[in-house]
Amino acid sequence: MGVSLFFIVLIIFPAMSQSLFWNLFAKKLTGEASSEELLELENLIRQNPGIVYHAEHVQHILQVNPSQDAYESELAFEMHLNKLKENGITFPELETALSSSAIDQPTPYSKSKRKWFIPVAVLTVLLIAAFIWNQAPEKTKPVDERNYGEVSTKPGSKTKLVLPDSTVVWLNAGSKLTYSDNFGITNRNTTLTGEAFFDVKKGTIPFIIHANAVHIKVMGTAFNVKAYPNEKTTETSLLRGRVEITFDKRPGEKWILKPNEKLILNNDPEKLETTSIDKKSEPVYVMGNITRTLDSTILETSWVENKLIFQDESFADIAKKMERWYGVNITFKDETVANYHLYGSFTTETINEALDALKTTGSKFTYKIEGQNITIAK
Amino acid sequence: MIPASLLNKLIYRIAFDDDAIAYKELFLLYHKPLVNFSSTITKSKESAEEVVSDVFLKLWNTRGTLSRVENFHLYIYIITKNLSINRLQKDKKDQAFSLDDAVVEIKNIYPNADEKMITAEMLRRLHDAIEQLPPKCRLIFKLIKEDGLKHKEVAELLQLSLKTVENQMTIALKKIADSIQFNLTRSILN
Repeated sequence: MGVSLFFIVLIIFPAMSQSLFWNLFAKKLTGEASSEELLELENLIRQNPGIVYHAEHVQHILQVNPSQDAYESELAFEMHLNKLKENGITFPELETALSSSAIDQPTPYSKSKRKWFIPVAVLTVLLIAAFIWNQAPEKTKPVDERNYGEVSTKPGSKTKLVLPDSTVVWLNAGSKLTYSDNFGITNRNTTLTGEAFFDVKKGTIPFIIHANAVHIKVMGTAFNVKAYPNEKTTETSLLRGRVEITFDKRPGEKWILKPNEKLILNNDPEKLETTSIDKKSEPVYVMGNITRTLDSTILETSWVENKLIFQDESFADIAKKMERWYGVNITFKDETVANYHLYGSFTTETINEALDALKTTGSKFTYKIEGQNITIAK
Repeated sequence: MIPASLLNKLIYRIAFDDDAIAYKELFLLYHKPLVNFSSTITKSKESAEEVVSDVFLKLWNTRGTLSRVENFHLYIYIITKNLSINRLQKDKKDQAFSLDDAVVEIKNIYPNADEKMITAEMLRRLHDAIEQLPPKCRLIFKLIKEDGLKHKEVAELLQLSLKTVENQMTIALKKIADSIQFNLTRSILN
């Protein structure tokens, strides 16, 4: 009964007073309403009490979300630092921890005299990197390209690194990036298994990534590469700039991506399945656009912002992502559960919270956690 | 919104201590909103990124006078607007900027459907209502709601009368309220 009363109240609220109401309400929102205007607003509300509920609903719905795009701004700042350098401005205290500890100057910034610190710091970091991180076993590679640097992440952890040429790389869980000897000097070749987001520093030497049998050539851009060894496809998504992609299994072909485009290559074109019913086959390659969710988050790089987003994916595929993300093993006891199609978006901390959240989307399943192993059933 | 106390502290450290870490923090706070705002004028994200970098270069070069700026939040938006218009003229051969041409992207006000307990359909109606606002109206709404500017600050920034800004905001709020109301009554009647 109270509900239909509310409905009636909205209908008879005269149109002119509505405009006046929103006018005063808007001023109140920004703190610009005078005391007379606040009184006037109160009077309007007293005459039409139903409108308060409505206005509060609007205000509640339109809460501004804090931006979670910190990493993009971090990348932008790195590029901004370069512009400052070009104008003779450097910030030693913003360089790597190693170099800043070497400085005990009282003035926080200085001009070109401090520039020599930077290559020293980078060299030091590289030497330490060579010591601490595992050296990969010798692979069959051209003679002048012994593995020199290698960074890898375990399932469940991500890392950000800056290559000797100032390219910034975000490495997703369970991934490995190696770069060859003379990186930055005679070549900028890298090898990737797993997933990484690159913001490549502009340079005359082409930046090349070898991922599975795909080779991606870049000249200063921002893009994401997904090349997990046990997955069917290798995916490249471009945000800024241009990249050129070649594929060993399709020699002579070259794809050029423009911003917002994405290329998915089937790693094993010989083993493509054909469903006999409708004679459709899996494509060798698919060129598409980057997926944006309703609030414009880019799906392909959401992992860099610590968001796990899936749109209409099977639970089995989502489980694979979660395995990497959290460093766990997931097995399905029930085939039907594995085939559920889910969509959601998390910035969750724990696997429990993520699974519980999935349950609230209405999908019926249970889960059991034993150490690193998770079983999911009906 | 950026709390005034934090902002004042950062500006103080930059203006008086040449503090690079404060400068970086300021950059991180303003980078995204200013790029979005600049894009509405330059119509190109790449140009907008460069404009914002130029804004911050200028900020550093004039940091000595920063403490004397009365309203820093408005100040940085005005600089961004001016540099964006210059950039537009450079990119598109002296094309003048008109508010009706603004390409306004609003991202941060859309709630998560499950968080705010609204249905996906209501969210879509809200989205449509906002997208259908005329460019000038949408820009004003975004500057107030997303960027945290006051009506009179928007008036100064866009060189409009205060009355115009207030009217546009009223129109926007009413349209948004109507879009949600429609669903409200529907779901009530169900």
